[in-house]
Amino acid sequence: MFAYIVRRLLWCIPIILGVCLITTLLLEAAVAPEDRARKELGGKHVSQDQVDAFMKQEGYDRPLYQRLYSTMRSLLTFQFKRSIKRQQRVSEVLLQSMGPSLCITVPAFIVGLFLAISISLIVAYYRATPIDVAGVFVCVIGMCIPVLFYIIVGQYLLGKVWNYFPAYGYVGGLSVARFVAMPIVIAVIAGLGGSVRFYRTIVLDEMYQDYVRTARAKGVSERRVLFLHVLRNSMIPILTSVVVHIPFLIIGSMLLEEFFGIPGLGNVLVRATLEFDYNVVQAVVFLSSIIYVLALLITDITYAIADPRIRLG
Amino acid sequence: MTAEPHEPKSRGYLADAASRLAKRKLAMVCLVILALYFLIGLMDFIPAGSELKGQVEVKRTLLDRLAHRGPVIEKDADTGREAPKPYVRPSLNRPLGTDIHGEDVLWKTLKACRTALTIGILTTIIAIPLAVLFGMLAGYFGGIIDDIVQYVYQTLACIPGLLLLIVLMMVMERGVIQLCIALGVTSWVGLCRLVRAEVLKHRESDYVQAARALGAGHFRIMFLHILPNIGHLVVISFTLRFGGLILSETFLSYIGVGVKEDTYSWGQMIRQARLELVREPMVWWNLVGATVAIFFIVLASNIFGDALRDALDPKLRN
Repeated sequence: MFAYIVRRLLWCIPIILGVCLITTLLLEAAVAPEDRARKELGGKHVSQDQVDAFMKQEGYDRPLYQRLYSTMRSLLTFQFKRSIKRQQRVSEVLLQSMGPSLCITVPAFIVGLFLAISISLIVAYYRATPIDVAGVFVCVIGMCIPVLFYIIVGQYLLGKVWNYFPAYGYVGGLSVARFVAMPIVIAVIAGLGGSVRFYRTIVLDEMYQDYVRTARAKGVSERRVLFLHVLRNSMIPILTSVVVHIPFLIIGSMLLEEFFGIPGLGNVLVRATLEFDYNVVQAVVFLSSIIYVLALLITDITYAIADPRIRLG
Repeated sequence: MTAEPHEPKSRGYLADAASRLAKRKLAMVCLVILALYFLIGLMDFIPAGSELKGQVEVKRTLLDRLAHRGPVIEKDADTGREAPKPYVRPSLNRPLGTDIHGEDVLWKTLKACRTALTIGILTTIIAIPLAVLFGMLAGYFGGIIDDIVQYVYQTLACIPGLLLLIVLMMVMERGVIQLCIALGVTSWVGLCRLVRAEVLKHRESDYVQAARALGAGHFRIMFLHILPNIGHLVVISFTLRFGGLILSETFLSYIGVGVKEDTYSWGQMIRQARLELVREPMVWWNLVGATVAIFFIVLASNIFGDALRDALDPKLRN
C-alpha cells in the first residue's frame, strides 16, 4: 500500500507539469504577448512606449521558452505572480474566493447526497411498480432540462416574484444565507436526476446478490433487508464515487457563481479567462490539477479500504 | 467441392438487437422524435432558391421556404418609418411570437436544429476515432504505449473542462466547426478510458489467443477481432453523450464563447432571453422555445440510448 501511494504520487509530478505546460501554451496561443500587454494596461490610449516598457517590466519581450520557464517556476514554487486586473497577489484572490465557493458547494453537496440516496432507496424498494417508473421518469426529465433554464427561472423568481431574497450579489457574514439559498437549491435540483438514477442502479445491483436472498430466506423483513443489508453494501460504491467530488468543492461551480454574482473561485476563474488575467488562470488551473490528481488517489485508496477484495499493487 | 451447408434460420447479432429494440415502444417513439429533428436539420442544408432582401440576394434553404414567416411590419407613429415589430405575443397564427429583432421565434427554434445536430455529429466524428485508436493501442500493447496514452488523457482530464473549452475557443475564434473541435478534444477522454479498460479484458481471452495462434497480426487482431466485440460500447456512449454535447453548446454560447451571435442556436436564444423574463409584460417565448427544443432532443437521445444499451449489450440480454 505504501509503495503504491509513493508510486502514484511520483506519477502526479509529470501530470501537473503537463497541465502547466498545456495551459501556458494555450494561453500564449490565444493572445500574443503584445496584445496581452495592451489588455493588461487597459485604457484605449496607451502609447507604444508605454506598452514596450510594460512588456519589458513583465518580461513579455523575452523568448517563449524563457517565459515558459519563469511561469512554471513561479507556479511550482507556489510564488504566484500578482493579478494585474485586480492589483492583488493571486494567493490573496484565491483565499478570499474560497469561502463563498464553499458556502454554496458544501451545503449543496450534503443535501444533494442525502436526498439522492433516500430517493434512490425509495424507488428501489418500490422497484417495478408505478412509483419506481414515475421516479425514474422524473429523474430523466430533470436531467434533460438545461441548467441555464433553472438559473434564469430561479433568478426571475427571486427578482420578481418573491422579492425576499436578492437575485444577484453576495455579502459575507450571517446574511450569507439569503444570497446562497437559490444557487444551492438549483445545484441540488440540477444534480439530483443523474445521481438518483446512478444510485438506483447500484442499489438494484445489490438487491439481486446472494446474501440478500439468504437474508430473505432467514425471514428478515423486506424493509430490514433494504435498510440494513443492502444500504450498507451499496454505500461502498456510492461513497467511493462521491469522494472524487469532495476536493472540487473548493473550486465551486463556475456557472452558478457567475450567474448569481457570487465571488467564488469558479467565478474568478471564468472572469479571469474572459478578461485575459492569465496569472490568475494559471494559478487556479495549477491548484485544481493538484486537487484532481490527489482526489483520484484518495478515491482509489478509499476503494481499497472500503472493499477488502481490492488490493492495490 | 463441398456444398454450402444448409443453415437453420437464425438471426444475427444486429437483427436480434434490432428486433428487441423494436419491441420497446418508448424507444421507438424517441427514435421518431430524433428522426424529426434530423429531418428539420437536413432541410436546412438543402438549398431552395434565393430571395432579395433589400439589395442583397440571400440564399434560402428548404426549411426557410416551408417555415419562414416574415416579421410583423409596424409603422412608427412619429417618424412614419416602417420597422419589424419586436416581441409580438404568441398567437394561433404565430405560436411563439417574435423576438427583439422581430424575427419569428418558432422559425429560429427550428433553424437551430441544424447547429445542434452539426455539433452532436461532427464532435462525435472527431472524438470517436481518437478515443478508439488510442484506447485500443493502450489496452492492447500496454507497457510504454499505455503509459503515454494514459499520461495524455489524465493530463487533459486535470484541466477543468469548462476552462479548457473556453481557452480552446479563444485560440480558434468562435464558430460551429471550431466548437466541434474543442468539444471533440475535451470529450474523447472518457470513451478512451472505457475502450482501454475493455480491450484489457479482451486481450487475454480465448478467441484472441486463438487468432494469435493462427498467426494473425496485431492490427488484424485489434481491428477485426477485438473491435467488433467492443463496438457496441462506442455506439452506446455516442448516443448517451449526444444530449450532453447539445447542452454544452447552449452554455458555451450563453457565456459568449460558443457559436457566433448571428448563428441560429438554442444557446444564443437563451442568451437573448436572459433578461426577457423581467420585462413588463413578461417575454417568455424565446426561453420556452429553446428549452422545449433542447429538452425533447436530449430526452429522446437519452431514452433511446438506454434502450440501445439494453439491446446491444450481450450481458444485459434477457
